[in-house]
Amino acid sequence: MENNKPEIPNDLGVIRIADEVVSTVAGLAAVEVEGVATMSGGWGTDLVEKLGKRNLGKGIKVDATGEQTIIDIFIVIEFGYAIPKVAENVQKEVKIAVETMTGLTVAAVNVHVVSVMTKKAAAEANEGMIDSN
Amino acid sequence: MPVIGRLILFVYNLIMLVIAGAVIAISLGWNYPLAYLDLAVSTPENRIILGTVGIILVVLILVVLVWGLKAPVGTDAVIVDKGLAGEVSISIAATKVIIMKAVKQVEGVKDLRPIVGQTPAGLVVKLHTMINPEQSVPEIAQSLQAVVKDNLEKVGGLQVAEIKVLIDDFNAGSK
Repeated sequence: MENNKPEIPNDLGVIRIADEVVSTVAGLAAVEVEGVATMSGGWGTDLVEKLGKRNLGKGIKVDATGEQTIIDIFIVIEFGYAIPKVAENVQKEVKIAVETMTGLTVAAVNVHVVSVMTKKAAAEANEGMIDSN
Repeated sequence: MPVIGRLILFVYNLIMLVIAGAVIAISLGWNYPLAYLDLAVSTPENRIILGTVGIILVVLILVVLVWGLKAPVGTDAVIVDKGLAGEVSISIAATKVIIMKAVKQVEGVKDLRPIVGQTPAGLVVKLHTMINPEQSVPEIAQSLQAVVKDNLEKVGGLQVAEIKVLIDDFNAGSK
């Protein structure tokens, strides 16, 4: 399995980037997009986060086998924003961030909008995450 | 969970009920269950049959347990856009939130329960609604249809095929 992971070879050896790194980069890029309330990582990740361990890559699934990387992002969108526009911006920002920071080729960024939240609820959710840090 | 799984779960629950009943009966001093148990393990043949039944039950219960614990393979979602950059999909739960927010703009709606389905032509939305009795049903139904369609298309970028409004009840407490 490990051999299928993308590698960046150079004169000194080979650079391998873990999926967790890609998901963290993608997660950080996605939450910065206007209209994204929070990432949706499922109840397990949310529970762990409530216990104090912040997961920057939550809600991200990375399939980095072979030459190209496919990223699935599960997000909650702030109410009032046009979902297709926000999703498109997420796709662009994540692709740019991952390609720039890791040198991997991103073939597709699939955005799954799992819920919609008001601004107030989103602020409370994010505050909870900051408190847990 | 498949139908066979539910059936196994049903049988398992029945067996558990019988065992629980037997345990309670024994604790209350009724010794018949113990006598039956003695009879069941009295001969090697009976023990083999009992052991085989036990193994089958364990296997079946493990299968049901795995089915139960397994996360659903992707939630119900509507695909909004499929392009070179990837795919954008919205969960049915998210579309319901959009609908609930949208109907707040319509006066006279006391309660609403949306049911969202998918067809090749687009979303089919059924709105189970409770309204104030002084409101005109055709007017409120039209407003609901317009507002929900508009929000789903503008906010969600979704194609709406049909919006059905069902007035379930009138808010009796309103003046």
